[in-house]
Formats: sequence, structure tokens, C-alpha cells
Amino acid sequence: MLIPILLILLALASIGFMAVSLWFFYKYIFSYRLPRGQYQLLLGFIHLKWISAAYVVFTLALTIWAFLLIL
Amino acid sequence: MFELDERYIDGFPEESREEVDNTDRSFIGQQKHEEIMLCTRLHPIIILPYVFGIALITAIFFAIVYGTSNVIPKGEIMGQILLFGVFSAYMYYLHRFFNKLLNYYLHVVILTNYRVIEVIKTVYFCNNKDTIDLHKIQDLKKDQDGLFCTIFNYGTLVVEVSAIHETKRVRYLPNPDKWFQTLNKVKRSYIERRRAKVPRGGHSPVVQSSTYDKVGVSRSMLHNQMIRVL
Repeated sequence: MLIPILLILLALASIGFMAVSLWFFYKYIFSYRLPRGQYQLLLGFIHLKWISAAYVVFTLALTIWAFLLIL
Repeated sequence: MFELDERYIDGFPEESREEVDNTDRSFIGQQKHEEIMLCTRLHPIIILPYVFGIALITAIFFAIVYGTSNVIPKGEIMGQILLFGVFSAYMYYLHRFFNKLLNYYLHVVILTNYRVIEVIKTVYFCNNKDTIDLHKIQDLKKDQDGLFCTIFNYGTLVVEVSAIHETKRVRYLPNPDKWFQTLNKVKRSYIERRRAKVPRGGHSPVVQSSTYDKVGVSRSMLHNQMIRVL
């Protein structure tokens, strides 16, 4: 019984941390915009929204996988 | 890297002076008439160690998870505890990796018509700003030593500041040649303007400085004294 409770707590903490990180990040970059017309992508092709989407997907996928594998 | 707007090298267009209010537009503390001329994040090579790190940890994670699931039957308490520990550790590293990526986007170096600013911001803990006014820059150096620096075109910009014998180093700066040339041009233009005492649209380019504000000496007074000395 202890492991499922710990797992739920871990999942909540992980998803919460991700949400707060992205919220802080986007709040800052939308408040203080650098000139967008001359923006250069990471390594020339990686969009910032791809990184954010990857963060969300990996966190959720890992959490779901942990539930499926452990319980 | 942002491209240089050539209009601002030899002066400031009247319309931009009068109409545009840049206060806090691109970074905290931006002045009303302060224009961004060059801006960059650090070279992406600084995130390479984190990419290798997460790749290695992912490999170890998968090895442990599949190794455990083959050896320990599902529902076994020891297996559950082990897997819980492994998942917890991997989640920690995953969050750490993505937060490093987000922090990479927040760390910028900016050259404006008044100063050079390094904004060292992280998502959670750090919100620092390192500023050097253009008139304080005594000497500029560009260090680009090493194979990787040459291949990937990054380097260190060393700015020597007058009076206090201090140096400011901006490491992992992409395209350091362009920064070196542009900073020299902008500095020269700035000093010439100050010597000629040309007002910018009728506004005194007072740059806020907490150090000077504390002792009650305005930056414009210091500017005028410097001009007299020059």
C-alpha cells in the first residue's frame, strides 16, 4: 500500500514541478520579449515550443509508465 | 544571434527617439530610449554535456528497468521498491535536464546603445544582471583559443573596465568577431556623441545605477565630468 501512495505523490510532484517551471518560463519570456524578427533557433532548427512539448510528453509518459510497470 | 541594425551605428533616427518607449521591453531595467543592437544566447555547445548526461542516464535507466522486470516477478515488493527508486531518480534527472534547457534560453547577452548587459536568469533561483556602460569600457579583447572554439565559432569576449581595473568575461559567446567589431563601433560612436554633447531627442541618457543612486550622484553628472576630462 505504501508504494502506490508514494508513486501518486511522486507523480503529483513531478507534474506540478513541470507545470510551474513552464509557467514561470513563459511568463518571463512573454513579459520581456527580445526582437522576434531576428530570433535564431537552437542549433538552427529546434523550436522552443518543441522543447516545452517534449518536457510535457516525457514527464507524463514516464509517470504513466511508472504506474503501469510498478502497480 | 540578432543582426545589427545599421541605423543605430552613426546616430539615432528621430522617429524612433520620439515615438518608441522601450522601458522594460526586452529585459528588466531597459531604459526608455535604449535600443537593442546585438543580442545573443550563449553558444549551444554549453548544453552538450547535459545532452550526453541524460543519454547515459537513460541507457542505465532502461537497462535497470528491463533487467529488473526479467528477474523479479511483477507485484514483488522488492521489485516495486527498486523500480520506484529508479523511476524517482530518472524523473529527477529528466526535470534537471529540461530546466537546464529552459535556463539556456533565459541567459542572454545584450548590446544596447548605452551598455553591455549579461542577463543571467534561471527559471527558479537566479535573476542577475551584469552591466557595463559603454563609456567605462577601456579595452576589448577577443579570446578564441582551441579547436572547438574555431570549428564551432565561439569564444570569450574580455571587456576591461576603466577606473576599477576590473575585467568582465563573457564566455561561450557565438560569433565573437561580430561582437568585437560591433562593440568597438558602438563604443566609438557613443563616445563621439558624448563629446559633441548631442542630446538624444532632448532626453538625457541617464542610466540607472544603484551604486551611484545610493550616494546621491546622478549618472548624467558623471557623464558631464567625463566629457570635460576628455
